[in-house]
Amino acid sequence: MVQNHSLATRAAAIAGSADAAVPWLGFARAGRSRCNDVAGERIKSGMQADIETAWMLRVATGDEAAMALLFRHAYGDVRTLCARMTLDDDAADDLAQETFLRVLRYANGFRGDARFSTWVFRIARNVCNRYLNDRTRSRTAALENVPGAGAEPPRDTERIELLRHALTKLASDDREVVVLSRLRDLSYRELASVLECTESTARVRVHRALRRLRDIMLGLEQPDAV
Amino acid sequence: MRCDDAFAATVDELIERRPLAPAARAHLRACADCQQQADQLRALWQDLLPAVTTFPRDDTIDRFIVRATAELGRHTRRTIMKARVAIAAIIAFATLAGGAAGYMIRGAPSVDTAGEQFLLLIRGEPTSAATPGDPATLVAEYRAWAEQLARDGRLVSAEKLADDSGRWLGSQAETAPATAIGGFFLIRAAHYDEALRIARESPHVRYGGTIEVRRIESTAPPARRD
Repeated sequence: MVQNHSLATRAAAIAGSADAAVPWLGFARAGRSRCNDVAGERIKSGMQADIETAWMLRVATGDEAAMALLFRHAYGDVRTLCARMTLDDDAADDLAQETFLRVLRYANGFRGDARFSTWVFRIARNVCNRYLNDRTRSRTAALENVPGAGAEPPRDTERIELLRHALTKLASDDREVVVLSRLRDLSYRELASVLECTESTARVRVHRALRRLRDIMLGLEQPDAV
Repeated sequence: MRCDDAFAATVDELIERRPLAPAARAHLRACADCQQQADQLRALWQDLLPAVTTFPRDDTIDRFIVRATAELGRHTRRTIMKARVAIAAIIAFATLAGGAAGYMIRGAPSVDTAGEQFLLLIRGEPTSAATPGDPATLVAEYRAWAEQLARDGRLVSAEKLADDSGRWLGSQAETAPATAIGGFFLIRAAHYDEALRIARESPHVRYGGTIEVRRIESTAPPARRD
């Protein structure tokens, strides 16, 4: 088990005071999960990503405590990606859990060269794409199953609800890029890693998706002007 | 700077979290439309995170952590067993090559080795709880079986394959079997029953692993009849 000992050593080196940071991360995470106003509770993505990577290296050695910390920390974002990609909130938990089970299955292959977030999002994308390919569903039925969905925009014109509705109007490729880029503040390089494309392609996709989302929102906010 | 470039620069500012380039700032000061679009984009970006975020039910994560903990335990036991078997296989194959182990197989074969050749493909890893806990014992058992093959004159060739998934080409790459081949033995046996008997005596099969036995179809030209 020499290899796993090396991984544990590397995890400790990366984590540094990861254990000391856990209570703070847990508090911030709990706050974020219970409140829509996340501006003041958003963890700086770099530190968050490094700690997750350190936990994942420990998971590869069979560390149950690290696994529990990591999964609790990352579950919400993975679930969100699954829900928004598939437009199916009911399936989101099953898809997120399938993603994490695959994380365990491939744990020995995780070396920490890429961040855990880009790695798990790549797995989640594959899980969701397989789900979408396997299931035959009408677009209308899918739209009914996620917050903000529906053929008509919500009567309550609160901006957040309107934005959720606008997301369902985006093409799936654009929606995926928007969610990924915003969820973890991924850089173009990290997005490219998740999307398995070049950095320039990722940049073009983000520009196009945000432009389209902005145009949809303008149309919803000012329907008479369109 | 064109208006499209100013929009792109604003997106880059949000994604890469770096300040706007001077040229972009100057354009926004000069172009009211672009300034308005930049403001709309920043507002959209601010609202996007609470809009995309979804939340699981309170007990979902707790229940999944219980399930994942059990799965991690199974994975850890498989990993430990795989490591032990890999060590055993490496030493067994090295012994046969007459290399690092320093063994020399002397004397005439103790069995009649006429007949056919069979390929034994070592697949997966042992799963039996009866597998020796001590790696040295497992190594000794693998080596003893391999050495006996050599002493009997049955061994033609043997190699261990690298611990990666290899490379696949062709139309059936996606349906490749899940159980990886760890190595192979090419042996002499009179017929399938004898080859199977030999394979059955291997510790790999005894402890729950799998060996695929395939007969080599001879392509040698038939002996000339003068």
